[in-house]
Amino acid sequence: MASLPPQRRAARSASGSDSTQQDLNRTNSEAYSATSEDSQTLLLNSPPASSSKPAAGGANKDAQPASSLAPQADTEPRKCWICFTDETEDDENTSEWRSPCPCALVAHEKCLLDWIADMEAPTAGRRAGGKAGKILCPQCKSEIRLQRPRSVVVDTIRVGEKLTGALMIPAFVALSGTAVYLTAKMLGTHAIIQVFGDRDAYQILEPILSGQEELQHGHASVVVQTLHHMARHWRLSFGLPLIPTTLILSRTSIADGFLPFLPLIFFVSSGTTSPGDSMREISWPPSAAFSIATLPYVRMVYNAGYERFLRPQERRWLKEIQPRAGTDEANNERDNHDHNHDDDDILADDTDDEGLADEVVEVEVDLDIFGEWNNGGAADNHNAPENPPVPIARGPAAPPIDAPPLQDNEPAPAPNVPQQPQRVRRERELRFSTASLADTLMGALVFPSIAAAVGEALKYALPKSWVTPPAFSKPTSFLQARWGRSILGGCLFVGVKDALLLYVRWRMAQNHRQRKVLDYDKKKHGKSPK
Amino acid sequence: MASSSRTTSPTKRLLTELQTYQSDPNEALLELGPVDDNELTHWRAVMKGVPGTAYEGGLWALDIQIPSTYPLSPPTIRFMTPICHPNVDFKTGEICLDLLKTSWTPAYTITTTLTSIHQLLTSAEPDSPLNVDIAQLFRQEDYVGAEALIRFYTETERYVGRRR
Repeated sequence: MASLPPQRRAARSASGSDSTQQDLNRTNSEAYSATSEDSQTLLLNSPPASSSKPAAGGANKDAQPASSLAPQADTEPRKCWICFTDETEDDENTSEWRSPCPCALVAHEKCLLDWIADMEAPTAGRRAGGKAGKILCPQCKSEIRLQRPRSVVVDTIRVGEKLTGALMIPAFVALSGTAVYLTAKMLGTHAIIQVFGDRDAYQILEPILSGQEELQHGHASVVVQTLHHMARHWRLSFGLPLIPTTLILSRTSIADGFLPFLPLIFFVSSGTTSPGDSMREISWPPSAAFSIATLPYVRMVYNAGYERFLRPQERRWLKEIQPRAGTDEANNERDNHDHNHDDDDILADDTDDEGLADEVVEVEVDLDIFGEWNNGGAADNHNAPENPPVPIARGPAAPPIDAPPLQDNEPAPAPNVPQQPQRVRRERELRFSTASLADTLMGALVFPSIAAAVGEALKYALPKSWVTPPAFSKPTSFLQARWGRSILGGCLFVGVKDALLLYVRWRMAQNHRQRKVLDYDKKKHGKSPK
Repeated sequence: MASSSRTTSPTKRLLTELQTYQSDPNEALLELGPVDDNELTHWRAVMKGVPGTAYEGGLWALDIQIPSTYPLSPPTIRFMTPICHPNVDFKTGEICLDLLKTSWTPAYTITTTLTSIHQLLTSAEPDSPLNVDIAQLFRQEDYVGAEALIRFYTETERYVGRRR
């Protein structure tokens, strides 16, 4: 339910309380006039009001100061403002009368206590958001004070409960933050172990591992030790959780703005670190730290290349399998068919048994058409003028349009091969925007393991002399350390995966184009029922 | 003792209030009292319109449900007769008044509460509306339109009770 807005409510309640006071006054006076006597406070505040009343009572009251608690047998019976019963109805069960505030309101103690308990009850819905704490007289708004037995234990516990309540959200945030931090740290550790292998990983993570022992036989308190530990190993404490974070970020394009600057921090700070720093001990022409620090740039270059060279192709293939290709596409299609016709004539003898080769040819022709179209830039509505690289992209694999088609036993994905190292950024964005965040997360987090696995596979796939470090000297090749193979494996995985996905797109577009509606075969069906 | 006070207090107090009302009627009301003599916690009132306003000449029946915790908790009051007012739901008759929710104190009585509702008729609060249509007219400062609409409903929805 809508309630009154604060400022208006204030005005309302102010006026309301005014009217309430008036009402109360009126009610009181009514009530008292019924018993033909004015309230004692009115008497004290404005003696003339009661001047019409018996002199004896007046004198009596004049003699009495504001101590309204004193029994006054000869005046009007007091009336409890809560239960509305007056003194005359008191019996032995009725509690004492109290006048807790300067105004005319008096009440039974029990009624007041009931009321106060109700006001203080935290469950009372109407108190929600209201002013808590002070109990105010509804008429004169002066505080009604209680004397209650104090208990240190109760007070302490209540303060504790209050604090707990106040700390609830911060504690929750801190807890989940810690959980995320620890998870990220574990994932980072895991990634390092995967990529570097047990031995090198132990070297890198040693400070943390040995730090545990330090903690065990230290003298200082745990907090101090923890802080000390943090101070000494802040690089690891900060860097390890950063690993999965960066992995996830690099799956998206969110962090493209600052990812390239992360390595700069490394390059700048590496000069000042101690020479014994574990990250740099594994040294061979590019050191492990150095190679990893360059990865963002590799990623950037790869993404940029993909964006430039492969994205238009991919987009076109995706568009082709949409239910309605644009009119441009339709025109192209027609064009395409004409050319295909020519090609088919040339290839006439091959087409029947060499369907795969036929497809290759078609695609190359397509590329040409689109390349020219894009260069012309006339009717194309996307990526046209700024994409001169498109014809380049077809590169060595695609023949000029008039050239005789390539030999038919060229493997199907051939046009893609030179472009493999580029990255499916477009595809990634699509996936990120349309579907699963979980997919992105999982992919990013599993990536180190995949890279390590491919690296391990490389170890057995490549000649032994490449991957085995010399027994007595330092490794002489990038591939002789596990981390090197892992990095290469990761890059390879990305490249192969993107190539595969591109091939699938191309193949889908291809298949889409060659669909046919089958005629109903009357003969066949005429015979089958028999 | 506490329990006895809890149970007897509403009845006793309500009886007192009723006596007070009968000896000194509220001029905003045409009638006020329990619906049924056996049930003291369900009252009904008929409120008069404020002369000189758009509500002039109107009559509205109000339904008053008194909780067992009364007077610690406020009574539940709603308009039985539809009334065109920014802070009253036209269909359910629910009243948006802080007195009936958060700022209730036992010092109020049924009569004074009804007086407050009567005052609400002339001091509408269009910013916390239960009737959006009329509140919108108020907000757009179309007082002529608002008054016409209110007069229309005051006439057409006038309460016609047993006495009429």
